[in-house]
Amino acid sequence: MSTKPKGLGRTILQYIPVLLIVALFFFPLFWMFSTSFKQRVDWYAVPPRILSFTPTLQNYDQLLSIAIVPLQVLIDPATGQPKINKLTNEPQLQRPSQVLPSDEYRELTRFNLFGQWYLVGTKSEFLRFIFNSIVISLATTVFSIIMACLTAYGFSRFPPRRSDNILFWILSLRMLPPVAVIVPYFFMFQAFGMLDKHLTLILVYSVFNISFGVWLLKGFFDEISPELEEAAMMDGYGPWAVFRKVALPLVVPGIATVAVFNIIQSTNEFLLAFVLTQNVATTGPVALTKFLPPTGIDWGGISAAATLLVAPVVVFTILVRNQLIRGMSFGQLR
Amino acid sequence: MAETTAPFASAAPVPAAESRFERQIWWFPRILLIPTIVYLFVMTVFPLLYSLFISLFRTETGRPPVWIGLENYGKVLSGGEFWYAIGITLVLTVVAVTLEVLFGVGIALLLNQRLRGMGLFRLLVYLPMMVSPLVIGYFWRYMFDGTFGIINWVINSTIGGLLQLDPPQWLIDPVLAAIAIIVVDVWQWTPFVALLAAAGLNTIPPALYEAATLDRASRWMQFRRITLPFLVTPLLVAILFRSIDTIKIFDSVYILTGGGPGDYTATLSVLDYKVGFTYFRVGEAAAFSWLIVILINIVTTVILRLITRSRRARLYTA
Amino acid sequence: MARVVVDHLHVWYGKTHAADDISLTVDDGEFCVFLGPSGCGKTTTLRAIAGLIKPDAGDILIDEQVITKLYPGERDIAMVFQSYALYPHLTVAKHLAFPLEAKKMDKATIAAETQRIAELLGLTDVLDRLPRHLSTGQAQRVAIARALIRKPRVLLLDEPLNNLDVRLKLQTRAVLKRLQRDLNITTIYVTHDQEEAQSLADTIVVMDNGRIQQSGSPMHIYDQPVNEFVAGFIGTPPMNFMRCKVERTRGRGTYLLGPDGFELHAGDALSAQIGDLPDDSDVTIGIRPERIALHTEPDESLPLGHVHIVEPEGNDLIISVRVGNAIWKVRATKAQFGGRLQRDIPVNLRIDQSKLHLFAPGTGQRIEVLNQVNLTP
Repeated sequence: MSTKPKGLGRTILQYIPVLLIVALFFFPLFWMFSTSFKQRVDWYAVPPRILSFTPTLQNYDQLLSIAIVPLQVLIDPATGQPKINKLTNEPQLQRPSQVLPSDEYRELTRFNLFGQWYLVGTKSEFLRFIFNSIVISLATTVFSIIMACLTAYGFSRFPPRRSDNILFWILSLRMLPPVAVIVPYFFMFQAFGMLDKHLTLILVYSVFNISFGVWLLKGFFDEISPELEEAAMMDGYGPWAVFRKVALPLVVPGIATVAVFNIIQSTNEFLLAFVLTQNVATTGPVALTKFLPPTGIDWGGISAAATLLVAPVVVFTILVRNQLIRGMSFGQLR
Repeated sequence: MAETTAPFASAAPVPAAESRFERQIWWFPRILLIPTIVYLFVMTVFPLLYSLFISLFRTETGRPPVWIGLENYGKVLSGGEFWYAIGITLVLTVVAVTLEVLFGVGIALLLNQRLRGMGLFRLLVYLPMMVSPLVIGYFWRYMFDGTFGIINWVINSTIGGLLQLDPPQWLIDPVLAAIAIIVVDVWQWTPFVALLAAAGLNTIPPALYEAATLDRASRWMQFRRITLPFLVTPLLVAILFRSIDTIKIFDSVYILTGGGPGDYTATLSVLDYKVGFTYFRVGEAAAFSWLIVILINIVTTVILRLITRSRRARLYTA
Repeated sequence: MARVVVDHLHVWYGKTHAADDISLTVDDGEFCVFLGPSGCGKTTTLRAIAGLIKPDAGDILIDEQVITKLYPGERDIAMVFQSYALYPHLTVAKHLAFPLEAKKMDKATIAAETQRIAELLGLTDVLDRLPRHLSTGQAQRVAIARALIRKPRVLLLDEPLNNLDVRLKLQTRAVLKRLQRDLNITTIYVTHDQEEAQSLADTIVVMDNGRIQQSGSPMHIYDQPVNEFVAGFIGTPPMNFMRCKVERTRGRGTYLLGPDGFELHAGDALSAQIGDLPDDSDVTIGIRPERIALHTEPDESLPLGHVHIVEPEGNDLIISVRVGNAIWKVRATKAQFGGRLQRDIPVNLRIDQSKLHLFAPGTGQRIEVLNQVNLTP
């Protein structure tokens, strides 16, 4: 690398290809972002209006509007007493259509706080899908990390006979095409009545997440000098305490990396979520497939939804940019 | 004074002390490994076996399963769509991976320079691979649209206008659709290859370049003799992962073309899905899945062999 | 009383017999050093005593209690590792508290003990630091403090001074020796540095190839090595050797003839040592550098050599002399020779024959040992 001071021209020349590449890779994301602020008219405009359009928030409004309203008890005008539901013996509450701000809103769920019922309404089911995505990714990540930590440590410190084979099998699960399992999974979960349930996706995603976690964490555990654990043993700690107090604290960066990748992979997954859920437990990406009103694809809605789905990923990417290499190449192939 | 002679020679020594960690030492490794292995086994082996079962029997509701042997496999293998799907998938994979490797190395080299703001640039370039392929599929579908897609606008206002061409119908013409799919895949995953290549570049000791410059080696020579060998391993890893992932490709194809027009861009996974969930020919779909698994296993083994062979070769020449 | 007994210990690593029938006793309060080159079995034996290795055969006893199957933490032994094995995520204070927490002591006692041991080892200033902010010497002392805070019966050390520079090494050596005496704790120390062994040990156990070669006090091992290996391993510079043949045919007594014209006329004592060895039999002679005197005036009765290099060492000179087919080292003072020794001048070697050792060429055993039934230490 030359250390001569560079001329200004030379510097500019060096920047140009870099900027071109960056623009090329960044443009589609930017285009998606800008489309999310466009009105219907502008979606189909030719020539495409990159900056010369009137922005609107209606797409986001459609997706994100949420209303939380209290539900009052219905009073019988004649008696002045609360009306009781004959079947459940509980006071009747107002109907959603009576309390929601407009008829664009539909009920999402209701909850009870300190004895007062509240109704949550949204303009679209998108928030529910986001909620599902969050719940499912967090749940599978927590579960997978616990399992992966234990297993990776086990393979690192207590390799069983033929551990190479078992380990290879576990790591090869990452290569499993989801297509290979959707048919049997569909029938199996259908038989157990578990289609369209959150637990189903959590269980399924954990397979891939655990596999990834074991691969990554075993490398981290391998790097801990055994002398540290021997010292802890001599200090009087049993194997479980040695794991908890010495080994685990030292792989926390690895755990963080696994967690982030698990969350990202779980929120991005499409095929399994598409097949195994319908409406109740559907996740983010699948939500995009629902933007098909008869009037043609709702491009504004899709862009807004896409932006919302991509934003957290961008944040996470910034967080793990240093661990990207490790995670993506899964350490060294032996 | 220490002695090296007779062993400890008093009357019968006190019996060996019992360790209170004995039980923990027995349980601990098993708790670590068994739950996960059982879980993964149940979640993968059972479904695969069940899939095998479905592929070998005719399962209709209300009737007991009937053994039909390899009939489903026969149907799949004899149907033209299967072989076409293999063909289109392999073409896709080879072209996409090759482009990704070439561009990836180029980008890695470009981004390796020490310029201001490079950290930010790298971040922006690495974004595409972190986003859901489905979302990306939708996006590019918007951009590739024959009428209002921005790509056609760019083409029309430059080359197309000059040459008086019709605007290409990307998602309708079979060949163009395949190209579109390749473009999307390359766009999304070249950063992945670039990332691995960049990691490889970082392992090169700068002293090698300094020594080469002292020896008056040309830049091209330095690239060939120093840079490339260090890139071989990360690139092989990248090729392995990208090949497997491209063979499995589903999300972007499904959204861009749905396998269409007709089944012209139906890659293996997409076709399998269609057979199983659109046409509901479940037995065939199961057989198809197994064939895909076998194919992927073969490809993985071949590439892994190549990697270990290249490693061994380098050990001997290094 | 903390008396450590190793009883017929065997450890195999695959096909390698790392510890081959090791039996030894370390008395209460004794500082015992396991000495030998890499791979001789000293670390293996130490780790078996610590409980980090399960022996394939044999037992370890402490105070007549068989502890071979006990988990390391239950043996009431402490160990200082070569790499110090400090936990990167714990401060010094937490390091010291760590072993006591395992015993579930109360906070007040732990704090008091931590303070006590920190004062003993001069660590009071660094109690809040993490290991990566400690100097090597400080890290060393933390490792020792962590081991000692439990007041263990036995202290094991695995080449702890290896990573230190020379000055720090000598300082820490003195600290260790003093500490051990003050605490009167049974100590087993592993090293490959024979100088270190001599300076620290009450008893040295010299090992090679998984077997104990000799054990005894440093002085005893220095003066009466039992075989060629021990003789050559101990001492700086090492003992000089030469392969010779016995010859009595010249009529003027016994000669030891070496290659390239080396001739040594054996005096009475040496002839007695040679004893009945037949003519023409091979022996290896060994003589320490400080037992040779150089004469610059010619003397035909003495073996001849040529000066090769002169290396000053403090107040002494280490003179390398080409003798026979070897280069021998001779220790002399600066006062004796000043600058008078030039390269390649001929010199005669007067060897102190009472300190000359004879070794059997095949086994390396000292011939005196072979001839005697008991070797009194």
